Amino acid sequence: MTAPQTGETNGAARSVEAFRGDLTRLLDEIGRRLVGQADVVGAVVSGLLAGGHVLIEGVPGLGKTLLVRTAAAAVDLAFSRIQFTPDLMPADVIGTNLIAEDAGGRRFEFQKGPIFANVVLADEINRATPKTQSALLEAMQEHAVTVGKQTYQLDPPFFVLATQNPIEMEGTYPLPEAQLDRFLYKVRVDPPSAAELHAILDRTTGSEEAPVHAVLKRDRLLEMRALVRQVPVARPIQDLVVRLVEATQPSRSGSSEVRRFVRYGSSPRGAQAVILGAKVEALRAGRFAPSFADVRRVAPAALRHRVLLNFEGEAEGITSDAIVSRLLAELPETG
Amino acid sequence: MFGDGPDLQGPLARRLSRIRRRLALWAALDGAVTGAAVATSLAALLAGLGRLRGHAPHAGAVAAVLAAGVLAGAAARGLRRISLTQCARLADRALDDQDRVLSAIWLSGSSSPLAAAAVADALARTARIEPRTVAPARAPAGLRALGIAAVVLAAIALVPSGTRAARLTVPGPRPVPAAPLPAGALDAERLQAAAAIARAERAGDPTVRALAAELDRIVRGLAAGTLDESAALEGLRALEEAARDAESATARDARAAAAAAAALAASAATQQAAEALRNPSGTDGAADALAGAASSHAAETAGALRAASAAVSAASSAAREGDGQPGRRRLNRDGAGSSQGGPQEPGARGDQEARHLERLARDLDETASSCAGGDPSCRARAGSNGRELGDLQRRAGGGPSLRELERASRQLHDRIARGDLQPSEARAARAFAEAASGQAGAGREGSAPSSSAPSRGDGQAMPAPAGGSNDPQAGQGAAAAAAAEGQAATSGAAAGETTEATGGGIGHENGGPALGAREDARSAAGRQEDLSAADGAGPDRARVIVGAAGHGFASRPYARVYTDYRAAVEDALGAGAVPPGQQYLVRRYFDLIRPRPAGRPAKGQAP
Repeated sequence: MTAPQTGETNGAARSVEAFRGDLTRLLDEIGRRLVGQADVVGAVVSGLLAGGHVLIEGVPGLGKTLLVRTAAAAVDLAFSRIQFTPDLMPADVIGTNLIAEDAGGRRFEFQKGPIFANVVLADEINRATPKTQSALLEAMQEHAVTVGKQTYQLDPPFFVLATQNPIEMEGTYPLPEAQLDRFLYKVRVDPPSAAELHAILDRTTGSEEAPVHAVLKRDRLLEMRALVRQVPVARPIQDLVVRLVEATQPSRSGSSEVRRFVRYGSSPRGAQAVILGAKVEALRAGRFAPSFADVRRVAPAALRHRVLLNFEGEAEGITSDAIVSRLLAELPETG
Repeated sequence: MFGDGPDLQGPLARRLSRIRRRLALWAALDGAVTGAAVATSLAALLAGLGRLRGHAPHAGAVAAVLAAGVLAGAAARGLRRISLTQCARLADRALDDQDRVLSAIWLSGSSSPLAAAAVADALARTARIEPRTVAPARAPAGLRALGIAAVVLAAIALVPSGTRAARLTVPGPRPVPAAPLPAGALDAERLQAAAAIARAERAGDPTVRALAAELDRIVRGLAAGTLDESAALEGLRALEEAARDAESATARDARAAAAAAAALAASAATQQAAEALRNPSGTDGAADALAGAASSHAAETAGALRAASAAVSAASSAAREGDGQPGRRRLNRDGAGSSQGGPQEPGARGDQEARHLERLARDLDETASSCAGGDPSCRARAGSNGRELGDLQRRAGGGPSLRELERASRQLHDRIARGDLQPSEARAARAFAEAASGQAGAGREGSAPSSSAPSRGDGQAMPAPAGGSNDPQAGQGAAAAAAAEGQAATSGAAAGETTEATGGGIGHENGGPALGAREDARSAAGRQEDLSAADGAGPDRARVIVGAAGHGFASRPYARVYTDYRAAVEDALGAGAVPPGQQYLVRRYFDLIRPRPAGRPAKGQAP
């Protein structure tokens, strides 16, 4: 074993400790306005730090938009909100070339759309047409938009938080599986408990709302993102992720339920999402490497929208969460 | 996959090696205990087998087996390789279960600052733990099994067992066919039989002698256990009947002898002979007296002999009239005494006696004729007639002996019927059975065990054997005859004539199913089957829907219906009747319910 140098070790330890402190402050700041939903908030922040995008699914009124607005305010990033509707056009999202007239004459000038922000809230993303959805999803994957022959890079960090309503399906365009895969996590927002509801009422029906302060600057956020990428992963931990993703695929799984009810399993993006999420969890806990427990904690949010059920699974009422939970329970930590 | 772990060196490796040594030690201890348990069980088994063969367990051999088991178990478990990964996981569990040590041993070769920090963190944390906290002391696995095996072995080794001679099997008592009676149980009957034999010997009566010998045989057989009670009862019954017949014959002889003596007493010439006949001890003198009378007074003697002949003939006629009934059946089936001096058949004996008297009457008449004609043989004939009359008088004196024989036989018969000769338990059981069946107090005369059918006269018919007649009237008639005669329907009579369906099963009833006849197979036309089913065993909803998609619901083929509807849907979609956001769902729905070939889709594929 190479003996760790004290300076490097201390520096890494300080970095991790600083990461943990900043993350704690960020979560606390969000928690000043948003009541409860700790898992949802944690997943959103984890996605923000891991460099992925998050799809939030929940019925109206559970604070999805408030969460995104609060998170954006807390990190002091450029925030824009796009309310997706069936008549929303791609140009309404990414921008368009307009004719500008000045002393030099007329020329085309690109008018940036709302996607040119650091944090984009795609509210009710499933109400837009697939064409408009595709425009957004290209930006999510490439971090760039193309208008005409010109490609415009998006300023990092670029973080999309999309919401969708699972009950009002009329007039919606469900995201195709390939586009769902672009999201790092899919988070379900559950109704608050009674105590949380009391706290919500106390905070939102008074004369003043708790102000949200920016606790993280953009540069610091990028540093934290870089630190996440530096977190090493032990091979047994990574092997569990690989075996988990393999187990979701019907053609390679040893689980009879997967072979019977699953149409498509997770892509390699799923494994990436799990590893990145586990890294964030490790740093959040002040550790230098993720553990098996970190993998188990983030796996449902990272894999539930990547495990697609077949008709038999849907008819039997099987859920992707149940499949992932069963696999996590069955898989041994060391194969 | 990670059984061996990385090639690790340094302080973390040394700490994990300490944990590994302790784990190996505990594994060796576990193996030793398990091996000891197995060895103890084996030793107990061998010791038990040795005990069964009469050998005491050898302490040295037991110790050797135990030592071998301990060593083998310790070696097998203690030398098994324990990976560093396993040690790291145990160390992590002893810490905070966050896989810090596991990550550190895998990241030890990385140059990343965070990896170095992870290793340093693991080093710092493992410095606070001791191997004993990672692998704490615990009861070795298999200790309970070892305890049980040790107890069993100790029990086998310490519990004394008998000698080899004591384990030899002792032959059981030989079965005795019938228990002999206690000594003296039949002394009274035996004395009576002996006295009867003695009297018969003195009287020279072979009949009484044979009957007394038969009684003595039965008594001896019962006393020795060679004769069962049923056979004894039959023999006694036959003996009683023979004694009664002999007694009646004796009475006839006595009447004939008295009549002859009275006829002889009427003449002065033969009066001396008559007195000799009347004297039981002087019957031998009757021959001499009659011979003298014939030689001296031939004419008078002839008249007296003629009168005696008439008296004897009258007595013979009276004997024939008295024995006019048909011959009774012979009941003693064992033939005891039938040819070797036993009791003769009563009817035959009566006839024989009657013929004897007739012959005596003829002899007396012929002697009278010869004497009246001056035949020189008159004297000899008269002497012979006197001897015959003396014998007749002597046989007439056997009546009391016969009565005593009959009484002794009846007494023994009653004792057997009462069960006086059975053991006390059997006697109690018999009394209970009689009380339960309401037979208590019933006469025992007719309750002798017999293999024949009931004698009440209702003649229950037996099932017909194979090849029996199908004539219902025959069976009915035979059964009715059996009922009228009050005799049992034997298997060769009514039973052979009875059929299953129409032969009149009950003898006095016409028709009806025979008892024991098989049920008519035609009455069981239905068929009963047991079917097994279990909840949830049927197809699930998805299979039902998919199956319906394959087979269709109604008369129109589903594929045609689907094609029509799909075309209509495409038209509607093309005309914009469905919002664009819904078209995906509509198309997906119709894609899911599309017709498919028969059979389920392959697993893991979209149906």
